Amino acid sequence: MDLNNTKAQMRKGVLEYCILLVIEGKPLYASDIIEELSRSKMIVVEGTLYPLLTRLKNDGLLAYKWEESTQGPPRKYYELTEEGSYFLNEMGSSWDELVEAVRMIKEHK
Amino acid sequence: MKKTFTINISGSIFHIDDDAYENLQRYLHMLNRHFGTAIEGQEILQDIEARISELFIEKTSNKVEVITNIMVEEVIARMGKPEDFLEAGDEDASTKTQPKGESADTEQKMRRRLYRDGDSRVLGGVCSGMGAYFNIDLVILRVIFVLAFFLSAGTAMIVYIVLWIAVPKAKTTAQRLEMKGKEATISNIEKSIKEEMNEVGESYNKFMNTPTNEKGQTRIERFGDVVTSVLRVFLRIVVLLFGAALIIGGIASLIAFVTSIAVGHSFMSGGPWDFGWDSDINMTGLLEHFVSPEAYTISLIAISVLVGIPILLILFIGTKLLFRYKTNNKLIGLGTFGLWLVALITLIVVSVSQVGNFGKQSSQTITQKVECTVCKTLYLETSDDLYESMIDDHISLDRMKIAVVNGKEKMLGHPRFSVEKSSTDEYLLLIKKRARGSSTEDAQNNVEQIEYNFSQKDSTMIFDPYYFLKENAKWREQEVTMTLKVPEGKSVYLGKKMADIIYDIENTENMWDGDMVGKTWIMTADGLALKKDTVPVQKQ
Repeated sequence: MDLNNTKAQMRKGVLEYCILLVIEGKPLYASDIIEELSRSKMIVVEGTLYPLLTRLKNDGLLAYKWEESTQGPPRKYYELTEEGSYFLNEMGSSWDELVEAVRMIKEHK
Repeated sequence: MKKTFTINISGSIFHIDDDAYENLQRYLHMLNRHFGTAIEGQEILQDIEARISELFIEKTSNKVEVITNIMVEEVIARMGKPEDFLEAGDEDASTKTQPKGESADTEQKMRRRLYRDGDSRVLGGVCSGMGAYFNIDLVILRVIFVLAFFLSAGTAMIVYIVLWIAVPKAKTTAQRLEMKGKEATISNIEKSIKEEMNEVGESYNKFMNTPTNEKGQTRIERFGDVVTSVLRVFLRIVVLLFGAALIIGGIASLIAFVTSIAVGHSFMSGGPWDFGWDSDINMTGLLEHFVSPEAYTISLIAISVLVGIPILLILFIGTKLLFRYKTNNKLIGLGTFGLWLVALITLIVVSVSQVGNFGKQSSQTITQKVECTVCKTLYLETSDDLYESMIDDHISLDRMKIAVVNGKEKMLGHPRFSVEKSSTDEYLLLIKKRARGSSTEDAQNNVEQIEYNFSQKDSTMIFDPYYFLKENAKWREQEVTMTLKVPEGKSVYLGKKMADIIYDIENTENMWDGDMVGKTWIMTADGLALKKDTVPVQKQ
């Protein structure tokens, strides 16, 4: 079994959840999100983020608005939609269940 | 010393080294291909370009600095290549990756595409896009366009609008770079064909060099390669020729059609594009003759759409084959098709309602005694045909034709003239005028639109070769039939020019109409017979 591939698969499943988590609370623009995700080593290359953002937006979980910036052209600020918040909540509880399940299995050995 | 370019990424201007420029161009092109041309893909690309722009701004801040290849490499490493996105990308992306040598493939596909250039546009950026594509100075191109606009009676504008709709606007930097791709068009085509020729050669060499002791399968595969690459070159050439032919044909028919609709007196008469529509008669004029006024405008519009849309489609396909631009406009396509269907249905409905105008028939018969009791022979002749040269031979409405007289269209037709035995001992001329109409009254009214004249002087009768419809009359199958009743024992002489109007005259010789002229005929108990002493013909 390819270890890197397995790791990638695991991370892939969690990445969307992480993006929603990062955006929760305040509108962010792509570079802020990248910074946050890179710091926690969730993404390796930045190009990964953009298709995901577009997909989450098209699925109705995210919305964006244009905001003027002091340097350079206007930026897209993403925020959670109502549906996105609901989705995040659901994902959160299922994530907690998973972590709990893994912890229990590890402890019982 | 290095050459630098000035580029615009996501609204910011950068100076970039020659090699860095090429590297970036390749990278953006790769992304462009990865994400595809769908709206979603283009949105992703725009976002990524915005980020690249931002990274460059960071790198070049404070002092004026040129973007080097190292910077580009850094940015590419940071953004990642399409295959790196897969790591955490969406599942279906795995199907999108190209299995074989990505970079070589990308390089080969890095050809110029036609886009509209929004940066230096006046209207829709078609000219500026064309300028970039053909590498022609914009001013020259625009002057040519304006000239074409006047010379083609506005047709160029239609072509422009078609391209405006069909050709995508260069939105992302990748597209703008593609728009100004490295190679010029003609040499581009030549080059691509040469490249493929080389491929043919290579695969042929490979095929020949495969040792015979290798598996037969390899040989067959190689042979297949040779065949497919030959076919590919051939197809590309065919496609290009076909595209060029479509464009030329499309523009020519468009010009012919537009002038036919709008101008009438086309200057293109007799050219290879004269598709049977005579220059003297235009569609609008033609319709006037047999469509009632209320349906006239509707059918004119319907015909324009019905004929115009396929012509535009031909143009569109032609330009697409030649310039290889991408399109993504299902809505316009469907809308156009819908419009075409609506026009078709409209025309059918109008035609059906027009058929009602032919529903009833009416006729009017005038019997006229020919005042010549002493005559033994009646001399019949047709007056000179003044209209022959003015008649449009392309258009024929049953028995009627259209002639252009002093710039005005006139409907006319030959009457039919026959000779029968009279039951009395007098010559009688029966003139029957017939027409159709939506009702009997209407038909009668249409009968009255017929004008026909003849004259008699002593024993000579001169008939007009044509009957006419009064001005603004509609064609409703109007026709004129004449029958001359000849009493037994009396004769008629048929003048040579009567050949134009005599129709199926029964005679004892069973002679054809055309042969009957120039002779004197006597009415006998058995019917019309040739009078033997025919040759010396003199008026009494």
